[in-house]
Parts: sequence; C-alpha cells; structure tokens
Amino acid sequence: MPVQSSPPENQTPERIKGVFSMVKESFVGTGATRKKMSQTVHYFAEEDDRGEITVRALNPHFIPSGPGKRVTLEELLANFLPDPMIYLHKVLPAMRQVEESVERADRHRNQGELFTAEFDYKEALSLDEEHVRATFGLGLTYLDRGENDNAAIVFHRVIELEHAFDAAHKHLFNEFGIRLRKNKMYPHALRYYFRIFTKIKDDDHLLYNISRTLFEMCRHRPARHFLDKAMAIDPELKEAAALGKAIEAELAKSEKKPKGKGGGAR
Amino acid sequence: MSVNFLGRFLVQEGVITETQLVEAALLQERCNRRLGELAVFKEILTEEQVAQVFDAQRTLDAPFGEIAVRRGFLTRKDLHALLFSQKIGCRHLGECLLMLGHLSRDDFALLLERYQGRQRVRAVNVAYLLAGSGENAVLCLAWDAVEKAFARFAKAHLKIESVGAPPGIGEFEAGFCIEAELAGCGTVHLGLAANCALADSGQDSPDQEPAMDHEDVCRVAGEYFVAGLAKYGLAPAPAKVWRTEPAQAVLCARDGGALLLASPRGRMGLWLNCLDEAGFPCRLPGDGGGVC
Repeated sequence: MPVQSSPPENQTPERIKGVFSMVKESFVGTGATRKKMSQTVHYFAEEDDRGEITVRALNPHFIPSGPGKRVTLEELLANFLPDPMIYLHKVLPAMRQVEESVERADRHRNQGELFTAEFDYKEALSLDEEHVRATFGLGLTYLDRGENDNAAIVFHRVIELEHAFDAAHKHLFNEFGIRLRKNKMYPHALRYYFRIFTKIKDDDHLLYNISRTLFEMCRHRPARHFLDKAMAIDPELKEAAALGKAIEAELAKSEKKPKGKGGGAR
Repeated sequence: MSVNFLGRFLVQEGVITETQLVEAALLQERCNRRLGELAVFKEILTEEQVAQVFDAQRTLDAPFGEIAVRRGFLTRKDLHALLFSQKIGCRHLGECLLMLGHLSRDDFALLLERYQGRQRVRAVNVAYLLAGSGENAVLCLAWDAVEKAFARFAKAHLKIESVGAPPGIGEFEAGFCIEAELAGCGTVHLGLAANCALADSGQDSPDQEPAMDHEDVCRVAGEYFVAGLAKYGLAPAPAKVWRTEPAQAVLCARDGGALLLASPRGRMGLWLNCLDEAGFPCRLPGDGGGVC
C-alpha cells in the first residue's frame, strides 16, 4: 500500500508567498521610430490554506494592491520569475510599516487620541489605499469626533472595498454600522447593512441591527419584519425582546391615531 | 490676532517658532490638493473640464465634485474614490509639524487636546452671540456665502473670530459692497473689508498673480448670498458688487450685524444691514421676526 507523504505533525506545509516578476514587452512609436520596449512588472503571489495561488500587482509603494488573479502553480512557475530580494528589501518593510502605523493608530484611538489616530491611519492608507483595518479605523475616528461628512467619505470607500466584509473584519464592520446609526447617519447605516446583507443573509445580529436602524427612522413595520427574521434565526436573541416591545408600542400608537392626520407608520 | 488657529496657538505657547509654522504651512499647501488638481493628476479629468467646473462654480453654489458629476465628467463612483484619496492625502497643520519633526507625538496629542478644548468653548460662544443677533439668519447666509466663495476662489479658509463690530477699521485696506434688492421688501447691504495679507491669498507663490481678484471673489459671494435668499422665496434681483474704501463698506451696511472673520493669513470684517421700506431690520421667514 503506497504511503501518502504528509508533513510531520505540528509543522505546517510551506506555502508560496513572495514576489515574482514578469517581463512585459510592448512597442512604442510608429514607422521608423517604432521600437520594442521591455518592462519588468512585479507581482505578489500568495497561496491560501486551500492551496490556491493568487497574484496581485504591487503598487508604487511595493504593497500588493488591486484585484487578485488566480493562477496554478504550473502557470506561476512558467510565466513568472521569483524575486526574493524585492520581497525582502521592499515589500516586507513596506508591509511592516503599514501594520505598525495601523497598530499605533488603533492604540491612539482606544486612548481617545483621535487626531493622532487619524494621522497614523492616513499614514497607513497613503501606502496602502485598500487596507481594510485602516479604512474602518479612519471612519470610526471621524465618527468618534462627530465628523459625519468625513465619515461619509470613508463609508463610500468601505462599501466598495472587496474584502471589507470578510469574517476577519467582523468586529470592525459591526462597530462601524453601529456607530453610523448612533451618529444618526440612518440612510448610510441602512445602505451599509444591506450591503452586508447581500453577502450574509442569516446573521441574526445583522438583521437585528437593520431592524433597530429602521425603528429609529420611525419605519416601524419594516423594523418588525427584520426583527421577526432575526428572531426566527435565534429566538433567544437577548436585545430583541426590548426592541420588539418598543416597535409594538409605536405600531399600536399609530393605529390609534385617526386616519388622514398623518403620523402613521411608514 | 486672537487664538483661533492651531499654528498661532502653538507659536503663542512657545512650542514652535514662526519659521517652523511657515515651513509647516507650505508643506500643508503642497499636500492638500484640491479635487480638480487631484482629478487631473489621476487623469480622470482634463484641465479644460476642471476650468469649466470652476467657471460654473462662480454662479452656482455647489461643490466641485457635484458639478462635475452633473455635467457627466465624473461618475459617482469616481467622485467617491477621488474624495477618499483627497481625504487620506490631506494633512492638518499639526500633522505637517509632526512630519517635519517640529513637534513630538506626545506633545502633539497633549497640545491638540488643549487647543480643541479652547475651540469648543469659542464655538459655543460664537453660536450664542450669533443667536442673539437681530438678523441672525441673514447673517448666517452672508457668512456661508462669503466663507464658501473665499475657500473656493481665494484659497482662504475663514473662521468667525468674533461677533460684533471689529475694533478698528484702520487695519483693513480693501473694501467691497454687495447690494441685493429684494422685490417689495427693501434692500440688503453687505459690506466686506479685508487687510492686504488676506487680499494676497489665492496666490501660489508671491510672484504669481492671484487666481481671481478680490472683487471677483466678492461677486461670487454675492451670487451665493442671493441664491441663499432665494431659497427663502425672497426672489432677489442679481447682486450688485463694487469696490470701495473700507470705511465706505462699513457705512453701506452700518447698524446691522457684524462679524470679524479670520484666516491664517489675515482678517476680514463683514457688516450686514437689511432694511425694509419702513427702515426696520428685516428678517427671514422663520427667523422669529416674520417675513420682511
């Protein structure tokens, strides 16, 4: 019986992670002045735990950015050349610098030093405009300062970011939504929650948060609809009972009001 | 000048020198790109399109990005991406001082907290005083129009330093009058006076001509002011704007509300008087005093 080779226990298999380059050739000029140009383009390749390899271009600050492209190991080895020096001397220090800035910014934000936090988040984002944690952090900083206009700019960015709603950032995207609501940015909060809803349909807390936002917007009937959905997933949801009572009370009030005088639940 | 700007506050506290402040202000100017400049840099807009949007902004009180979207030069998505890039590239003065090493991180957090504390107290005071002004809503409209026009066309970011007549007219070198006729309601007069330092704003370097002269900026302020009044259904005729002596600017709008405005580069006085046909100060609908 053949023996299947497997890594020794407590040792994870080596995964591909590093910089690879590709020489791209193009022609410039026309007629007699037409000449061939070659340019080396660097990519960051990373293998995930399912063994899939994604390559992403490096931005001018040597940070992987833009959409990723899946390649097979064979394609990677056939079309790209490993460039470990660029990885060690450019990419790693740049990535470390970004992470350090974000960690510093998070620390300042937790200590309520919001202007210093803003400075460090912007430092990180000026190197990596797509950094999810820094983007949320900057948005939360503006919300903490009550700067809703600035927060709205970050909000539009967040809903465009490809990885903003990955499970790894769940606590951040939850906090951001709650802060949008608390700052009374209801249309933003609702749009934000529905953006997550397109990705995650069965999160009871998300449905509760939608209901809570609708309730604060005085849209009591849709608020009840989403609360019912949340409770169908988790009937024991702790915060739901109080919200349910409040919604019912508002609906009862609007039903008592004579018709045609306005004030009914929208 | 009273402590109204962070840089001035830090110089007065002895934390930085005047030279360091100038150095930081120059770095700030280089970092903080306007949306149009950024869009040209990123090759999303052409210089001609930017010029067209600026031209439209002379008569239309709307942000640059909004006008560019309405004209089909930018998509909403492009605008959001540009605004985000602009935001993360934008540096406050304190941040520039940090970048230049004129301020340590510890000092920065501490001083900023103190400065913000003072600003909060001032903001409450200004709001309180403004609420007590007889023509507060018209004064707010005037302030809004002047602030936007100077920010957009003279690169001068004004703040309200105090409410009430400035201590002396002598410090101002240039005066402007804005007059808006309100159909059947009387006339609104707005007097503006600025000192030379503020009049020079809008220049990128000392040997460069300002992008727009002060009279033109006041004309834009007049357009915005009239548009603001029109939102209250007052349907004013187009504003008349003329240059005059500072003392004349005060005279044309005397006995009304007044604001002392300041930018890091200089000061400006704003006087407003709106009289109805019987000579009583007129107010906006909903301003607690009935319609003029």
